[in-house]
Amino acid sequence: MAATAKLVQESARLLQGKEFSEARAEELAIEVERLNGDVRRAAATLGFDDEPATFLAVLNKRR
Amino acid sequence: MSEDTALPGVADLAAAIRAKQVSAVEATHAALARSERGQRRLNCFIAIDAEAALARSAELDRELAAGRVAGPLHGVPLAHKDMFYRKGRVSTGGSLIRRDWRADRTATVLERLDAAGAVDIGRLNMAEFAAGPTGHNKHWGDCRNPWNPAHMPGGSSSGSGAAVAARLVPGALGSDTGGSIRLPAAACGVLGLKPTYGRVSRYGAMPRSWSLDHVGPLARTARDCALLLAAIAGHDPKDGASSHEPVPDFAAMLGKGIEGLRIGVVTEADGAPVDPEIRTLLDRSVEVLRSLGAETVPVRLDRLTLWFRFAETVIKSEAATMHGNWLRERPQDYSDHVRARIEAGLVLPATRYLEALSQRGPELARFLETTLAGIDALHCPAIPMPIPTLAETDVEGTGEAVLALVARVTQFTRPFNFLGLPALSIPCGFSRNGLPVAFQAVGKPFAEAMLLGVADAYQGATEWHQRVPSG
Repeated sequence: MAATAKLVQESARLLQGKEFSEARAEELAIEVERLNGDVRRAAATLGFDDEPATFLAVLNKRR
Repeated sequence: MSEDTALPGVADLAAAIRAKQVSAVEATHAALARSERGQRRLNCFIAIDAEAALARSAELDRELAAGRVAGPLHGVPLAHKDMFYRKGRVSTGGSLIRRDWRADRTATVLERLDAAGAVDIGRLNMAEFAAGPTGHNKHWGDCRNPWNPAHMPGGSSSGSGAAVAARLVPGALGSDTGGSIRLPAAACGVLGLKPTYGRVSRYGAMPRSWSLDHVGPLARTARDCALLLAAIAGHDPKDGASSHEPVPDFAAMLGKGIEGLRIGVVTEADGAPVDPEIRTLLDRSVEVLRSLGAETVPVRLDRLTLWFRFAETVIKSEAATMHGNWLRERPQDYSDHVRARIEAGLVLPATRYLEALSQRGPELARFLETTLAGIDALHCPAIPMPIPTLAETDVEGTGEAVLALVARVTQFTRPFNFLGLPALSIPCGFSRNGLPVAFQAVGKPFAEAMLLGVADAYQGATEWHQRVPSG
């Protein structure tokens, strides 16, 4: 499901206690759709055991 | 020391003070006089603290007279981005919201600079809450580029870049979440080093994005950067992400040349065009590196945009978390473009945030095993177009334009925050509009000494770093 202005407005109001105008919600919907879509598509490559802390382990090991 | 004389760099000034050719008070007086004058043209300070600086430098002179040297920066006047906390002192973060906020702790980096003998003369201008790559600041006034005050100085460490380039102070600290040290360094024509994630403590530094924040120095020469980095680097138990990696004597490792070094030159990157004028200057810098004995190989970066998107997701999610209360209770106290850059984080799913963070380990491992395999350093653009004017980049009130601008200015810097790799912006000429151009040298984890070696060799063969802006 694509992020829509209505979805942005409602989730911001219900989940964050934050009101957005329709115009601002339209802008945010485009931005959220772009980020959400890119990251979600890339997540297909993640394995079950991948986790954020792996980063520091790689950083500290590889030099 | 004449107040009209451009201050020497960190290393030269520290040596002159130790040799008692100049006192810490004289050096501080000169820096203060230059800063007061430079401030009128560049607006690079939020506050200059002459009284405390002079008291501190007088104390350091008494110590030196008694035969005690505090450290390698004894008596050297510095100034830092106004986001490094000093207990009891106002730290605005470039914001209206924290206009009068007094810090409840002192940043580890300031404690370490104090211990090394540095003098802190003031708090430098910056983008509001470190969110903005241009140097605009609605609350404290725009910072200006010393090469041409009509042009942007880069951000978010705008004052740090401008003050060092204008020779108001020989060095400064900045922070870098998406390029905020390297961009002002590139736009103002000085060196700017984003160290490896965890190399320098973030404790007491105002956060922009916990996972991507880095603290580092801006200075004119590799030796100056090396001294500053050595003073601030090393494990800090107060920062949970702080590394235990030993800190080498960075300055002692300079002067060895780059003969045989293998440098990957980024000739193509997905979705990241480079202005032809900038490309020409970048190519010339590669020729210089080759003439110094480096071996170069072409490299293509095909995941730059993806790393950019991951970083964007992380920044927005973390910024919306830390700014959540203020966004709800006093949204009017943000400038429009800063608020606009944070708000999407309120409605991004937590799963997307964690997926982006979970990509860091595999992406870094893959990059090290493939692109950086057999390569010591990467050469790539810092800012891929000639430095625009402040007017051209005045994006207040236009949310979409801000996103487009940030994407263009930070497209080669932000990805390396995601990967956590050390990256150094090195001036390599001037574009036709008279503004500086720079390349980035990017290294493997904790390879700061090698990057400084590249800069040292390059500066030994060129004179860009010796040029001084007029005014």
